[in-house]
Amino acid sequence: MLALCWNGINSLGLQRVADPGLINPHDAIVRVSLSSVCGSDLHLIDGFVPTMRPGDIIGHEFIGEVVDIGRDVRKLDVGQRVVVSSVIGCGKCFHCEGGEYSLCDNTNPNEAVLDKAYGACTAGIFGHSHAFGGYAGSHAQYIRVPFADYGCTPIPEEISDESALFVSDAFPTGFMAADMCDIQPGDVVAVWGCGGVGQLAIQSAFLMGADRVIAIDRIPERLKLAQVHSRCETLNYEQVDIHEALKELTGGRGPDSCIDAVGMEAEDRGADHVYDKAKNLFLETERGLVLRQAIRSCRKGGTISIVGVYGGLIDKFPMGAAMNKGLRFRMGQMHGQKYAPRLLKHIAAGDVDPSFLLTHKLSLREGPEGYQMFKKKSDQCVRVAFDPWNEPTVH
Amino acid sequence: MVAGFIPFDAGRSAPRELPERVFIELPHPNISPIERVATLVGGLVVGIEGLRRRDRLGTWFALATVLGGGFIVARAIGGYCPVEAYLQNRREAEDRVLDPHEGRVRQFLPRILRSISIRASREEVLSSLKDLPNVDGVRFDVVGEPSIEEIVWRCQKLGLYGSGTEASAAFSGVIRLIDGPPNKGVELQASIDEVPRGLDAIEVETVIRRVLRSLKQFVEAGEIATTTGQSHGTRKRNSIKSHLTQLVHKLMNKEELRHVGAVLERN
Repeated sequence: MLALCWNGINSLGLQRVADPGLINPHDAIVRVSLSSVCGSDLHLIDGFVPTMRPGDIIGHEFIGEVVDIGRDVRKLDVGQRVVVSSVIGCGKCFHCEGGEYSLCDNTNPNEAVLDKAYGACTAGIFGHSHAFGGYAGSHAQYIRVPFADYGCTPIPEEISDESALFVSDAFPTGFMAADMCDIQPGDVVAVWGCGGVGQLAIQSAFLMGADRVIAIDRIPERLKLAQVHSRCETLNYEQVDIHEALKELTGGRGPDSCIDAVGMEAEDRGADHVYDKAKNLFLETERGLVLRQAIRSCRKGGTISIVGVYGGLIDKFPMGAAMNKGLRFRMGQMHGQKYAPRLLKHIAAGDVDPSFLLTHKLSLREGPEGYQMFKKKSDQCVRVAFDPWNEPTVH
Repeated sequence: MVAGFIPFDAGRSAPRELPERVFIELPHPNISPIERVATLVGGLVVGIEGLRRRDRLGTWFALATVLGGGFIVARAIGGYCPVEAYLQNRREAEDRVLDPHEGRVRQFLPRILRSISIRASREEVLSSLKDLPNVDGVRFDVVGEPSIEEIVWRCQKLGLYGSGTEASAAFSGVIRLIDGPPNKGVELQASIDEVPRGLDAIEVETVIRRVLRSLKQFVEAGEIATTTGQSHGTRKRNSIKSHLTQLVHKLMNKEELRHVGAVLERN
């Protein structure tokens, strides 16, 4: 089969690799029909995640058709169209039974790495480095899905591939970001980052009853997308002081909840950004601009909800402000298996249609260009999805 | 009643004492103060010379010289030398083969202990033991008839971690089963009671951890997670060189430097 492989920092390439087979009894093989890029892939490509190996197949947000199932798979049939959660949960451990699938005890074969780095091992993730299990990713024609009964959710007929695709990762991530805010009627929510996850966090916050949502980014097209599709207020951080603007927009209180949908590679044009870039060389791995702004801007007693990905160490963290303002922190990788059925119901009911994120559909051969476009946000790109079977020139 | 004293409630888990355990020691200084001073000076000289003569040495050799100097300086500041530690371990390992009760082994006796929680009953754990597959070259056997209180086990590791040999080592011990708090399943505490020949404490603990985790996966999830045998692209051998090249390119990114300059000027 054909697969898009990581060959080194900022180096991707299409390769012909062996077809995946069933290895364990709870596995399924899925024929991938669409596989999306994700902001967290950029951390791998840029070399921020140290346990990648040349030849790793990347990609973790995908849908497809079940073509083979292991002997202990009970809830799936061959031929079913499914959306697959990007995190892998066994469905049986303490965390999975509590709905915390991304904290699964049992699906990361390389537990020693995270045990050493984080003090405990979390779930495996498709195509997301060997620290998170080393599972082959979805930018390929076929993929092996472990614990398929829990990871695969059948897609109702009335939902298109393009609408279902983001239920694999971006939609549950945005939804969980809003869910963690415990939104009450009348709440004002600020969302940093208007990429795929941020856009869906905005819509999820409205679904949960937020009175107003304020979206923050610097790309005019993305801010406009948020205005058009979610009818929210927007702030361009290159044009205004975010802290002052948020105070102004909330009667001096600050937002009730602040969602960080950016993560470790936050950008800015000020001195803070230079400070972080300099420290990135040796002393820290994350650029914490968004977190600093969120902590400073959030109302007293408010909630900071973090779904943008962080991997290592952060410096200049305003713990004093966080503690004295009595902020509540919620964070984590999303628990896709828990949210997928609910999100598909929302899509079927017409509450949300995430397909507006899909701005470019390319072949796997165009993968490196697709990632460059996504990274540079050129051609008004929000999300690129690859169709692995659209390869007419490859033999 | 004394203020602040919380009476023991029969419904709560009883307080426990920390089980007997000998903790693995962290790296400690293994070079003398005089050697540290000399090393610091030497490392600085090597590093500075690498920078000064980079044109004559060439980019790669100069980079290697600077990194070498940095390593020597780090060795001086930390006072710990991994090469010295490795040589010392080898010397001790030779002594240990001659007499396992002497030398460094003694500090890890009488037991090494590792715990894990399994979300199942004691009976379910016991019934799964007989079907537990060998993982990562570790053969795990139950000695005699296991009880719901204690399992006597014997373990054989084929191909020692980091040894690069086909040697094997066997060791044995006891797994105690304790009921966890409500909804937390059963807690397993594995201890070792025999001196393993040819292994050090970290290797033994790695093997025990692997066995316990395999058992947990097998009991809870019905299989042991693996990626062995899955598809991947070509594994290149020169990944370290590739990383270094990319790092140099990153450091020399003119666009970034220009941006930094502009911001500094503005502020």
